[in-house]
This record gives sequence, structure tokens and C-alpha cells, in this order.
Amino acid sequence: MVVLQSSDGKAFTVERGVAIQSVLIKNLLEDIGESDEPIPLPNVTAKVLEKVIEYCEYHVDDPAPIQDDLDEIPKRSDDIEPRDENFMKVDQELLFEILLAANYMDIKPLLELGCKTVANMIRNKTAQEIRTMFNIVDDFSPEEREQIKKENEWAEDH
Amino acid sequence: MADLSDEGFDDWPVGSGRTGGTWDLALAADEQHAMEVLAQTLRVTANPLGRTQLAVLLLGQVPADLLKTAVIHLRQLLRRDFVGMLPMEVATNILEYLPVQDIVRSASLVSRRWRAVATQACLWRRLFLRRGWRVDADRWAFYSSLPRGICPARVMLDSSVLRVSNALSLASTPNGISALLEHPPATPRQTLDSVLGEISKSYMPQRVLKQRQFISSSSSEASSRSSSPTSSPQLRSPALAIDWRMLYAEYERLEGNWRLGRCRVDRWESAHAESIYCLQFDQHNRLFSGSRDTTVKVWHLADSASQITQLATLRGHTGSVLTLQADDAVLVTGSSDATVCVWDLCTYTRTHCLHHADAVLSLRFNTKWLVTACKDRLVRVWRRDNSYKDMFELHGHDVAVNAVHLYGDMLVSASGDRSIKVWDLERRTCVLTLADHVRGVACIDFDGRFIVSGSSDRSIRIWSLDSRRCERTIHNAHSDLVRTVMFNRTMDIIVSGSYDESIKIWRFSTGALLHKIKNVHTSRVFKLIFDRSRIVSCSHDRSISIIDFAANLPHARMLV
Repeated sequence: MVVLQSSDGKAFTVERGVAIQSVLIKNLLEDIGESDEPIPLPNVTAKVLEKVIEYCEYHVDDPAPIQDDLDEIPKRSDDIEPRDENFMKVDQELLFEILLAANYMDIKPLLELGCKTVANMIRNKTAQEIRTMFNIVDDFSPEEREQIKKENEWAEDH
Repeated sequence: MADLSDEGFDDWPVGSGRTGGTWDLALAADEQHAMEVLAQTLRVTANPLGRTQLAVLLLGQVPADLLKTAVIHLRQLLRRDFVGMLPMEVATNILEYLPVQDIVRSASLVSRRWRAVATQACLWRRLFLRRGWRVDADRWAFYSSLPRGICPARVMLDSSVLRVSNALSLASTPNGISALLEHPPATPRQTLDSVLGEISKSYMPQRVLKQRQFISSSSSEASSRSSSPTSSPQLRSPALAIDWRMLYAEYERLEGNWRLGRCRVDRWESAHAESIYCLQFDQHNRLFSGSRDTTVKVWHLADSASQITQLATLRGHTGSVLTLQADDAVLVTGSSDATVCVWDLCTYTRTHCLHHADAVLSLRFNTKWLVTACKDRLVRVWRRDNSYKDMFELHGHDVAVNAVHLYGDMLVSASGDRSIKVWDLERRTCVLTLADHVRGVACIDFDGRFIVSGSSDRSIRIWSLDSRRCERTIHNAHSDLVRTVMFNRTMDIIVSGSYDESIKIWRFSTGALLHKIKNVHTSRVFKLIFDRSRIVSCSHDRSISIIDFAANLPHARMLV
């Protein structure tokens, strides 16, 4: 068993197989060897860590992800399993924190799942709809806006 | 937990409450101050739970009619700018999941930060490679060595003019090279001149390089023009210069041009005195053509037919030149005079002459083998070294072998006996016979896994070596014999040419007809070859045609 400690001091005891889905923890365990000492995760709160562990527990038997660098197929985000989709039905703040944690803890499948979820939120929306959805300020000047529209003309005839 | 379905669109004015700190309320200065002090005190003293408790307590003081406004405002605080606030690599990863249209039309217009992510070179490089597109490093080195403001297509012409200038002895005419340019270059002459010197280093084949040096030394015009011949600009590193977004945009357009049949057809009449049976072009834009007039001609292929220029005429055959293949160093030609000639492309002289019993209909070579197909039903295999020794013969076809294609040690042959045979050259045996065509097979193309064949039965067939059978048949692909065929699985394209005078473009994956290109030839099409940007074909009508899908896309020629 491995003990993980959140930034707000809460300890989680998980099976080794669950913990080492995080490459960060896997490398750490390989470096320090087996130990009863809790592993501190100063960037992850208990609320987020709980979600991350829930994900890792569910996916503990998944085969190792395939390296897809330079894959010759465009990435797709319409292949999320229903259970994972449900798991990601959280508010934006938590989703944001999960993405940060997955990136920090180096859990590639969870990071990809988070990215797909956000991509699906953005897909088929106008810039204005995206701004509204994520509460973003439009900081372009009118000149910049014109310039960008001109640059993007190539995509218009499809 | 909030339901994502409420993350849509409400009427809260965008941008008015991004941080939630300042409300546009009419407060007296002392009231404003008191609130700020309170907020500051809270931040430094209370723990998160205490602060939450107090906030809820305060919300209880809000009049019911304003509570709704407060809730909307609070909801804004729970929103996150994923692309803007996550680390760059994560934000890039998110956008990589979007259709390119969404990245261009929406994501890049959200904010400056989003734009920075959406226009990154690494994102576009990844999107580019995921389309299966690759850049030809040599051609990129050539283009990126040009100074800003010079159109690549323009300099292509310029460099072709340089090559030709030697042949025509124009280097000694008063205005030299620039007299041949349609428009004078935008940059000062000596800059262009030194740039062309660079191009010759990185781009031109050895022989042309020699010509170039010859021009420089023999032309007083060239040397007097260049104020300091030794100080040429630094050769820029190609790796630094790639604008992946621009390349993506051009290639996207190029694919659209193939899909929609947007092309420019240039016919170049009277390239030979008689029918042209075979041709090939290489990455240096050299075009080789063989004709019934017994000659082989070497051309520089520019962007339009009017810019084709002849580099050499090779004489030696006494019959029609029916087949040829070239690499950087040698050209091999086969003729109805029953010989195969090997030509040195540096000196344009014949180095070997190999003898057959009858007309040589097709040939292919790679670094290891030279394979020739003969009208006498035999396929002969020669050692591909300086000796070109006759190694062995392959028996199996009942009538003339019309076409051969090589991939490593695998050879595919097609015959008038209606069959296609796959041979293992190491073991010298036939490993597979494919015999679904109902009349003779006229042409084949082969990429190691798939074979595409055209036949006198007017059909095109697609065969898989994995399944060892015909995967798809395009019946009545043409209204006459299918004489020439070529395919590219990455582009998902088959192009065929027929005795019915037409050229057709098909989807490899579905066999669907994309386009019939009209008005290309006025007689039988004998041979065609294509790359990412164009189809070049030749015909019984003595013309060479260029069907160009990249007429206004100067970088598209770098695609491999």
C-alpha cells in the first residue's frame, strides 16, 4: 500500500497498482523504494486527489497506453466511455483542478480524458460562445480582429 | 456539483465580472473603503471554511430581488479559462482534439492568449503530421534559402532559366540571365545572383552545379555584377524556418483541389516528333520522356507547360522507346529494338546496352535489381551494379509481359495472359498468381502491400498482398483499355489513363470516381505519373500534359 498526502493534509491509502498510474509517483517509488512514509502532493487538494484516486482505481487494470507520438491519424474526442464521461461531469473549477493534477502527477490517460472533455465543450461553438462559457474577456483590438479574420480566410471554403 | 448543461449562455455581460471583485455599484467612497478593509481582513485571518461561512451569512443580507444577480455573478467565479490558464502543453493538447475549422474560426478568436495557443508552431506541426503529410527536406532547404519577398515559384523559374542558359549559351549575351526573367526580381540583382548560387549548392544536381560554376567563371557579366563574389549570405537552417500553420493551410487547399477537381491543365504540344510512350519526373523537376521517334528527351519541368525547357536529347535506340526509369544518377530505357540502355545522367552518355530477344515493354530498378519485361514472355533480372550482369530469367507468363513493378525483393509482373504474378527475387520463385481480369493486364502499380492494375477489360482492380486476393474492382472504369495507372494510399488517390483519351481520378479506399479530367489529350493516353501537386501525362497525340492542382500554392511542391 502507498500513502498519498494532499496539500491540505489529508492522507489516502491506496494500492500500489493504483498509485503507480501516476508516473510521478511511480518514479518516486522507484527512487526511494518501499516506505511507509506518506508521499506529499503539495499541488493537489484532498477534494481533487479523491477524484484522481477514484479514476485510477477504476482504471487499475487498463492496458498500458500506446505511445501515439507522430500518429498519422487526427485525434478524436468522440470515443469517451460512458463511465468516464459521467466521471467528468463536474463543475469547471474541479475539472480544471483535475487537469492540473493529472498534468502534475503525470497520469496521461486522465489528462487526455480531461482534454477531450474540454475539447467537447468547445467544439462547434463560436468565439463569443466560448468566451461566455468560460468567462473570458475579449482583449483584441478591432485592428487585430480584422487581421486575424484575414489570416484565417483559408479555412473558409470547406 | 454543477450540471454541465448550465454552462451555456446566460445574459451576464461578458467581461464585466471576470474577477468578481468590482461591481459597478453606486457606493460612497467610505462604504467602498470599508468593504475593501473587510475583504482584506478576511483574506489574512479566516480559514477557508470560516470565510465561506461568513460569505453565506452575508448573502443572507442580500435583498431577494438582487440575490439572483449575485448568484449569476458567483457562477462566473466558478468558470475557468481552460486554454488561457492551463500550462501551454495542456492547452495545446486540448486544441489538438478540435477540428481544424474550430481552431481557426473560433478558438483563435477568443482572446490574445487563446490566439497564442492556437497559432503555435508545435500545434500545427502535430496537426500537420497527423494528416499523414510530410515535407520534402531537400525542397524545403531550397525554398527556405530564398530571401523574403521572393516567390518560390518565381525562383523555380529562375533556376530553370539558369540551367537552360548554359545549353543555349545565353550566359554570354549582354543582359545574361535577367533577360530571361519575365519580371525583374524585387531584390537587387547581386542578391538574387548570390542566392541562386546558394540554391545551386543545396538544390541542383551535380551536373547543373558544374554548369552554374561554368556560367559564373565564363560570364564577365556575372562576375562584374557581383561586387564581392566571396561574401554570399549565410545559408539559413531549414529547421528554423518552417511555418507549419501556413503549410497546413496550403496543403488543406491542395487536398481540396484534388477533391473538387480544381486544377489547371497545360498541354505542351509536339514534345516529340511521334507518340510519347513513357515518362517520369523526379524531385528535381527533371522530366524524362521516351518516344516512337526513338529518342529520349530530358526536360526541366517548370510550373506551366510554357515553361518547360529541354535539357538534353539522348539518341541510341533504333526503335520506339517504350519504357524508362531514372534515379539521381542513371536513366534506364527499354525499346522495341530489343535493347535496354543505361545512361549516365551527369554526362548524358550511354554506359551499357543490354540485349533481349524481343521488344522490352517495361522495366524497373532499385539499388539491388534491374528487372526487364519482354514481349517474348520472359522477365529478366540483372545485377544492379557496374556490370549489369544478366542474373536469371523468370518463366511463368504465357504471352507478353506488359508491366513490372519492384518493391525491395518483391516483383510484380502483369501480362497479356490476364494474370498478375508476385515473385520473390531472392528465391527466384513465383509466390502468388492473381487472375481475376478477364482480358490482358496492361499496367500495374505496387507499394509493397497493394497492387492496382488496369486491363484491356476496361476495369481497374485493387489487390491486397495481405489477403492475397482482389479487394475491389472498378468495372467499366474507362470505355477502352486502361493503359496506365498509379496510386498513393496516403493521398487516398488512384489516377488512371486510357485509350479512351481520358484521365480519371479515383478514391483508393472506396473506388469512387472523383473526377474525369477533360481536354487533356486528343488521343490514347500511354503513361501518367503524379505527385502531391500534379499529374503529368503523355499520349499518342505527341503532347505532354501537366494537370496542376497547386497553381496558386507555392509551397505545395514540398509535400511528399
